[in-house]
Amino acid sequence: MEKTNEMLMKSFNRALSELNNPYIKEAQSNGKKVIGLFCSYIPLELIAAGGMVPYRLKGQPGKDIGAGTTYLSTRLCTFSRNALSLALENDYSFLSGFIGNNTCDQIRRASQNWIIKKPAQFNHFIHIPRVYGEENVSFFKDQLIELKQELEEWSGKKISDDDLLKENLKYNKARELLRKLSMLRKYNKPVLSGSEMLTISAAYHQMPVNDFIPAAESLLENLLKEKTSDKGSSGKARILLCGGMIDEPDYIAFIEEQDIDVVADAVCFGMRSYRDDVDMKMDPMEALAERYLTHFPCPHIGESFSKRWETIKQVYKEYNADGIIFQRLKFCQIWGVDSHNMSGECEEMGIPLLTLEREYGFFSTGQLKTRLQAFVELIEERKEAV
Amino acid sequence: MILGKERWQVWEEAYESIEILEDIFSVASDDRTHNALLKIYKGYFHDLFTAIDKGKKIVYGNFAVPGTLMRGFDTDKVFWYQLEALSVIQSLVGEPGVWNSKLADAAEEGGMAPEICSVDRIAHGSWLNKVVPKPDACFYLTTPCDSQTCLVNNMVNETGKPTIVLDMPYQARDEDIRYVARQFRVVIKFLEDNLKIKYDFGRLKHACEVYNKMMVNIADWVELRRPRPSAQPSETVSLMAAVVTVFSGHQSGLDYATETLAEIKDFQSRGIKTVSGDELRAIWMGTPYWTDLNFYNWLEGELNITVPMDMFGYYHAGNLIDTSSEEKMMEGIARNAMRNFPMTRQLLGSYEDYLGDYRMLCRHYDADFAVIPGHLGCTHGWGISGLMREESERMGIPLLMFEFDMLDPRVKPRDDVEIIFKNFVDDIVLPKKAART
Ligand code: SF4
Ligand code: SF4
Repeated sequence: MEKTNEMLMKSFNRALSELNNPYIKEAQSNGKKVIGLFCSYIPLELIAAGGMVPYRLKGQPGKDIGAGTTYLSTRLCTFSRNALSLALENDYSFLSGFIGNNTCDQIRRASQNWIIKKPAQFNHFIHIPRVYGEENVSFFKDQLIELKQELEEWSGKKISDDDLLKENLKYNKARELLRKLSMLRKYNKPVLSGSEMLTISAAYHQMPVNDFIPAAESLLENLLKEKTSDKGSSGKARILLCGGMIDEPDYIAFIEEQDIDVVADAVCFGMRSYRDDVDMKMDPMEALAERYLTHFPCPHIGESFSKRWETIKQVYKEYNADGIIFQRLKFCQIWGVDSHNMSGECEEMGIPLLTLEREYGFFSTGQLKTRLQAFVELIEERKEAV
Repeated sequence: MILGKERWQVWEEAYESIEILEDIFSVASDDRTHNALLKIYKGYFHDLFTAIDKGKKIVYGNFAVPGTLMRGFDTDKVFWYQLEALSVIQSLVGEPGVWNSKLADAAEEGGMAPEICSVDRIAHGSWLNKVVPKPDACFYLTTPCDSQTCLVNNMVNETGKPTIVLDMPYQARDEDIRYVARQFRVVIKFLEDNLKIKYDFGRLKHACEVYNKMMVNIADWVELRRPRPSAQPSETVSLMAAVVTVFSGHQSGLDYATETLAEIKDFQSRGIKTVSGDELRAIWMGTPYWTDLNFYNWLEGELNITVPMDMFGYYHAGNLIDTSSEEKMMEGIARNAMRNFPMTRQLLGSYEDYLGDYRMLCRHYDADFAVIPGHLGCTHGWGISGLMREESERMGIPLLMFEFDMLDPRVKPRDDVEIIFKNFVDDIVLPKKAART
């Protein structure tokens, strides 16, 4: 990370500095309630429209996950165990509300254990359909209306269409900024690294949108001013990172230490959360249901591979990538077939693909380094052959 | 000799096993459950291979697709093939684990993660190994688990055939049931359009009636499993899921339920006991020990353990399908698919579905202890294990939890499981029982 970027990234690093980060503390001191949620399928706008702060739950690398393992066993992914451990040991006690969901079985069980063992003041569980046809979007809208009503009842504040429209607009703005920042990775010498971009997009989920927008604007402005003349090439392999949940910029930083630029991603704390906007011309609740259920899909949607692959291919091209790294947490089942489906497609298109299985917040540097170096060599060979 | 032009070795072997078992069991005419099971599975083979020979339309489904719904299509024209059928048949009548292990490995070699439930790995392996008929269309459900959704994601991508997927919601309130029923309509239309075959609600009505009769018999049987001493073998409980998943709405399902009910009545009237000593009753809260059904006999013979009921053997007749209108039938099938179907009933939704059944089964069947056979890939089963332990403590029921795989015996050989049971009974169950008396 270059020195100047480090300074410009200050706000986003602050948002990831601790779970109860300074932005959250400040919002709470201003009387705002903070609502924790697990997944990219829950509309942040709806919570913000109720005058609350949506907070995407993350894990904490290095956390002892014994408490979560007691309830979830060793057969569930280390992220779900990590997050539940944090809840059970009161690291998330600053949350006023919790919204659990069933996008995957592990998060469903972690959510249920959370609600039983450490209920927040407000607890809700939402069904996210696993199919995204018309019927399902309309059913999802009903689920969101139910959530809205419960939030209203609990907080005593009605959420009007105007409130929703305002927040939908604001979040579209935030997503637009994220897209513009991400595009700075298109340069041959990317202006932002992959780990910086994940820091920014993770921070988007961890701070009030009103704080995020000015911070992102200022970063973009500065980068555009200072760096667009930054031509030349980094000479590194350009990688698109995809696969399951990842909120650890350090993991990407390590990848980038091995002669790799992570120039694009398709993960849910990353581009999957900001590639699509909410339609401002539709009824606001309908628009939220539509946007959130049908956005750049993760495989919890049972028929989504072709749409996901189409989008990944598009991003791969847009960002002029040389290869794909697919990462997945051990025991994460929903992502357990994508690498299989992708490998055939990649082979056909001549796209180098590396599949990595990992544990949350922990990696064996030696082994990973060797695999990454071999992958870089493969990419170079392919380039030379062309 | 097996019917059909396509002669996959894996099916041949299973068919031969059925014939051998038929010879063995037909000698014991009072063994009505086994004879009925072999008969209906043999019938299934005939139907499947006739379908292939006659070029009937084949519709793929995953195991939670309600069979009753599919019977609205003319069976002379459409055969509904469940992707898991081969693995279940292999387990029940084949050499334990031989083919299933091979097919699971094939899926892994093909890139499916090893943590995915073996049910789904085997289903995918049988597709990759081309030992299943090719589909004309596919209809899948997103229940009960992530593993099933993975299988769906794979199959949608690989078969290249018209496919429709139906979303199963988290809860089973009236609005959820109507949501599923509405999706059934969309599915029927989709299959009609793609198969060019009309759906017939008259046929459906007949299938619903057959389903209702089957459920009434099963519900009676469920009650007759209660009295001590147990009269009918534990193994019988483990078979019920294999019948309900494949034969709902089909005469074979009704025939089986009728026979197994008659068998338990007969055994009870003759005062037959499955164990000679002091019976220890275990509630089996998880997937059955299908890789080796003899294991249940060993439990009875060696340790006096009976399984009066297991998680997937329990059904009720409280949701019989109202056949008075098309709408009511759709809703009735939806309700049963959600609240009266193995795995979906207990595992798809809230923790309370599982814990509630656990409490109810322990009480209802006077359990001395409970078993959670931790099927490796069943993450949502594992994800509730901590709460189960706490619930067991509250109820004062000793709980045995161990890792195994319902279809792949390599994961935990039977010898190891036997030792686990022996130690648990000696160290925990018997002392606890002695302290009580
Ligand atoms: S990968 Fe999918 S299910 Fe998992 S957290 Fe991300 S959006 Fe949710
Ligand atoms: S055993 Fe568990 S993981 Fe396997 S199919 Fe059934 S519910 Fe799914």
